Amino acid sequence: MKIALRNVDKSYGQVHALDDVTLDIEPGQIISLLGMNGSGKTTLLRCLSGITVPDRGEVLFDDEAFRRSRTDLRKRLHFLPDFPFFYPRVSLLQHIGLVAKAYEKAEAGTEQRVVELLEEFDLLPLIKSPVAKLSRGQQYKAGLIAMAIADPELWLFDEPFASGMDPLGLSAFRRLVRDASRRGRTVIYSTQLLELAESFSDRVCVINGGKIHAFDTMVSLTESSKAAPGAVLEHLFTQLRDTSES
Amino acid sequence: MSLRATELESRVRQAALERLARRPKLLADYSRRRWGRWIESFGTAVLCVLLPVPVITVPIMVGNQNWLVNGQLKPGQHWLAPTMVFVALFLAASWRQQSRRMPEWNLAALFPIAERSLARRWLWRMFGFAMVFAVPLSVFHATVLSGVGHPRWIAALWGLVAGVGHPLCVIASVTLLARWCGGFFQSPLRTCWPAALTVVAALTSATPQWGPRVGWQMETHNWLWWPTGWPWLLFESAAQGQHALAAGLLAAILLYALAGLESVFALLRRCDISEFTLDESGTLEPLFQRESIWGATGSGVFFRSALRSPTKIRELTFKDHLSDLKRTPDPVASLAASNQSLSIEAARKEVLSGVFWQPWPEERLGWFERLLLATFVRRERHLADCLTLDGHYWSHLLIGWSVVFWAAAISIWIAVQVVPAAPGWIGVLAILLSAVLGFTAFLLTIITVFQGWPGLIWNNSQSRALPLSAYLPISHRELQLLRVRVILLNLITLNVVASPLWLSLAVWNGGILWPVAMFLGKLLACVLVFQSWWFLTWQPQCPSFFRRVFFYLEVLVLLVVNLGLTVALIYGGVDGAWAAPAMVCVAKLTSFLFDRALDRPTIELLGCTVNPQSRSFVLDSRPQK
Repeated sequence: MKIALRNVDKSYGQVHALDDVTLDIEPGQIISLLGMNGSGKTTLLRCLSGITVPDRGEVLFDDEAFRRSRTDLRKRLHFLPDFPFFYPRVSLLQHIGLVAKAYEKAEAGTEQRVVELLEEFDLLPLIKSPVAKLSRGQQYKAGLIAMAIADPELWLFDEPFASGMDPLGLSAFRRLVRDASRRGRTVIYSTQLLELAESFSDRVCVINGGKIHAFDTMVSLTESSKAAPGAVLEHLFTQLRDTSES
Repeated sequence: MSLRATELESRVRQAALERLARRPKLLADYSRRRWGRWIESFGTAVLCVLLPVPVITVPIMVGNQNWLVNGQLKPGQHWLAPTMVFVALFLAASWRQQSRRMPEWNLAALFPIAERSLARRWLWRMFGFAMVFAVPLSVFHATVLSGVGHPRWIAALWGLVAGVGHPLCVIASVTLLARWCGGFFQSPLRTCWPAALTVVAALTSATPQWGPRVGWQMETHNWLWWPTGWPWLLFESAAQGQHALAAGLLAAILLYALAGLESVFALLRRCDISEFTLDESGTLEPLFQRESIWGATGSGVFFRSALRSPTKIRELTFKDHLSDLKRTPDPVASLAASNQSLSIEAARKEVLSGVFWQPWPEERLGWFERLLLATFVRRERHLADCLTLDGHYWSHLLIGWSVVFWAAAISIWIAVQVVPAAPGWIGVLAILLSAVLGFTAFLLTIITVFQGWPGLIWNNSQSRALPLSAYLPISHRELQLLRVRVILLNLITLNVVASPLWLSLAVWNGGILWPVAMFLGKLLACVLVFQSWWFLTWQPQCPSFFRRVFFYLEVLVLLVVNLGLTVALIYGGVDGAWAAPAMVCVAKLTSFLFDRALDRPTIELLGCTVNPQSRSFVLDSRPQK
């Protein structure tokens, strides 16, 4: 899915969360969103998912204007916030079924895929547990499995690497995302971990004060930076901080 | 196990503390809103109930108890009722706005109409107020007119026109004023427009006093210069051969009606589903709520406990958290105790059986919930997977039932009162039934207003959220329709509640009971309408085409009920008192038929199928094997 943001503005009272954001994202990429706290990363994800409506500008999916009422377009994306939402009394398996039904993914072979994912994320014995009884990391894994079953064209994650998943879960998450990217899915996630963003993204999007400060591949950013490889993003953030303070 | 539990516990606590450290402001904001909501609820309810009291008591104090019934209000007192209405409107709305900013009590923030959603709430609130006061008042006007020697058909027509015209006028005034202000949402004017509106409204209602001064002598009915009185003036002037005046009045009425209708359409258009966001910041309210409060199991406990005592927020420490853990179930402990781990093989078998595609069983529902589900809103069941778990859903059911009970109770009571020829045992039975229904309705109303009966309201802790469904590509139209229906049902009930009271007054021709009856009627009406506002505040969304059709049909029913009641009042007297409960039945039946008629296209529109076994609608696009 080709994604475009055109002059998107979003304010929360006096706070300008997004300021004239224009972006073009080609399908099949893994994009990391980086930025200081309050820079607008989550707002951008919310605008992309339809949770928040921009004050101005538009979000285009394959050149079609995206609105919350476009259920057909919403079926092509899924957003997993940093604290995913569940009905607490619903079992893990029911939750997966609920999401799959909402995304009309009740295809033959889905059950086998569910089993594989549950095994991969070490949740198979817990399928009857109420989601509320799971730990935070397990809840995130549950949301992740449901998203993988839904398999939308656009995967949106808010802080997946601070989601409480264990190392094996994080590793499985990376595999899942890489696989999705290879199948042409677009993955956008926010993170504060610079090293991870450098190693686990095709493009890096740096937001500062609601504006896109940089949106490029790591190779290009490294070439244009004076910093040593491996410290490019850190150098970029230092620059941003200095600019803000001055 | 203990090592794992300790480790998990540590992680949960750490996560909770980190989260709190990151978002103290969010937490404080949320808490303030939460308390603000309670305060605004109580405040608005109290104002709604108390403010009409002077309208009743002042005439009584001046020794003119029957002024409403006999139409003996002196010309100088006619400004009282409408002015009090607008004062009530102003104060209640101001209170509501102010209480949203609790606890700052900053007067400068009295009217911060900065967002469209807020403006929309204002408009709906105006509409609600207008309906509360206008419709019964209009019926009363018709009654009064019928008693002073004018042709009854004119009075009936006037009552109908006034009943419709008054709310439209109010909406038109609001909308026109908003447009005249021009871009007021972004301008400094936004801080004063409600006050300006109130002044304009007061002036409008005071125009009866100006009429005689400009030379139009309409004798005792100068109060009809109030816009809702224009239809009467139209008839009067036409009867007196003042065709120019009649034409002018007709044009004015049409203009107002058109403006009002246009406003209604504009309102509907503006309530776009894309404006799912509800709070002032433009962010989905449940998102805010759940993200900061209900996000994680461990931290959720922590934050919930903090919210129980908002004063603790600024001084929460790890020690607080530990002491809190002693009082509340330990999330880690409950995790260990309640997880029903299956063997790998059993779990695999379970998943492969495809059990999770099946509609959820309803065994978990109590008898009461099943009764509600089976009888009242079965057609909404296709969203059951999501919405039955949503507190809103059950609240709406309860509201619906409370409305039905209110209507039934009042109707039975009235029937007993006005049919003295009925055998005594029927009267006793009816009164008992009425009392039971009334008490049940009262209970349900209290529950739904304050949404606080665990067990009756499913998943009460998240009663205001549409959490997961907001993140899934599911149409919320059914829920929106349900909300619209709740409002309309409430409005119909207002008529049902208020009009029989007027009818009984007409039968008794005054007496000490009528102010009490009127007060109770207002009380019930305010509670019911307040419920509508309460829910509109959360999800003021527009129906789709089918919903609009449904909406207008229900409006039509409302008008038919009004007309019927008006006619019954004027022509029926004691002998025609049966018309009131009969009209209620007609309204309910019509509403029910509309429901049924719309079921099939609605379902097909949403791509759902009917599960013949459970007789429920399910989201089921799974290919048949």
